[in-house]
Amino acid sequence: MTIRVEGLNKFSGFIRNLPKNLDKGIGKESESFMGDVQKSAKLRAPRDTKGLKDSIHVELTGKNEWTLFVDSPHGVFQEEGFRPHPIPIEWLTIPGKGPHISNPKGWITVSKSTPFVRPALEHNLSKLAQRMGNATQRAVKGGK
Amino acid sequence: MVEITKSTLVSSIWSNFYDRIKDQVTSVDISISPGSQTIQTYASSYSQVTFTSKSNFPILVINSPKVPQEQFTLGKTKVNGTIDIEVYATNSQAADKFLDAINNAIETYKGDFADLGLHQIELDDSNSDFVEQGDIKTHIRGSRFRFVYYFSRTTAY
Repeated sequence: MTIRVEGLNKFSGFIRNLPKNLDKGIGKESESFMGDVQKSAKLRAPRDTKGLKDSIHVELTGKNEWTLFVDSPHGVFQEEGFRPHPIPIEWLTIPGKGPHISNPKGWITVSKSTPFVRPALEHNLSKLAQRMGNATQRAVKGGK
Repeated sequence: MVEITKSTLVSSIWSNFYDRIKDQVTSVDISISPGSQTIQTYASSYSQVTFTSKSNFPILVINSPKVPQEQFTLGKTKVNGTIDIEVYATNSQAADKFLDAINNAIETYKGDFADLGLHQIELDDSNSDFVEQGDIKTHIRGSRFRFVYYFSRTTAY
């Protein structure tokens, strides 16, 4: 009696390629996920000056590691909250594009913070597990 | 429709989706006043969405396609592309109906896309979101379509 197992070469090829495909698939999905968080945060960010919205960006900071940065100094206060305080109206200007309002004189009290990163993250996190599952499935299919 | 070539891959694929959507998705009827909504702007990026006035909405965004490539055969390259299409509306019913209209426009004209070389177009994912900017409440709906395109590789040694 002879028993022959066929397809071992194919199988070992599949196993060999799996980590590579998985790594690539997860990396691509992570980039896409962070892109969606960035977009979501930009849509939620207060737009009095557009400076905050424009300062939100995503960078590759390591292997398959993406980080969202908010460069604008008032980003953290919008996110974490602040006490009501007066600011000069002229601060409400769009950098490089002139005053946001016609007569930028006087003071205005700002009282309401608008978190934008956490809500964006919460909204997108609900689908992260499904997205990673799909990416893994695609990687496994690609490895066949 | 615009001919798709490897030298104009992104722009020609985008143009074809843009033309199809602009042609097929213009307005929808809704059950509350004013009774119907008509797309005000067809944009290519969400950064063009401005929240200055409700009258700017609905806005339809046809994003740039992503075109990752892999070797298919010795002489062919396979593009496993995706394209995101989104609608921004101030009414959730209108947003849902526009999304249906978008999906239907792509589904109905798969044959035309195939004639241009875009094959296996499928709805890959859809999403919804809601954001508030001042007095403007915006309902966002989006669809991601997958497609496959093949072109002849340039061989070099």
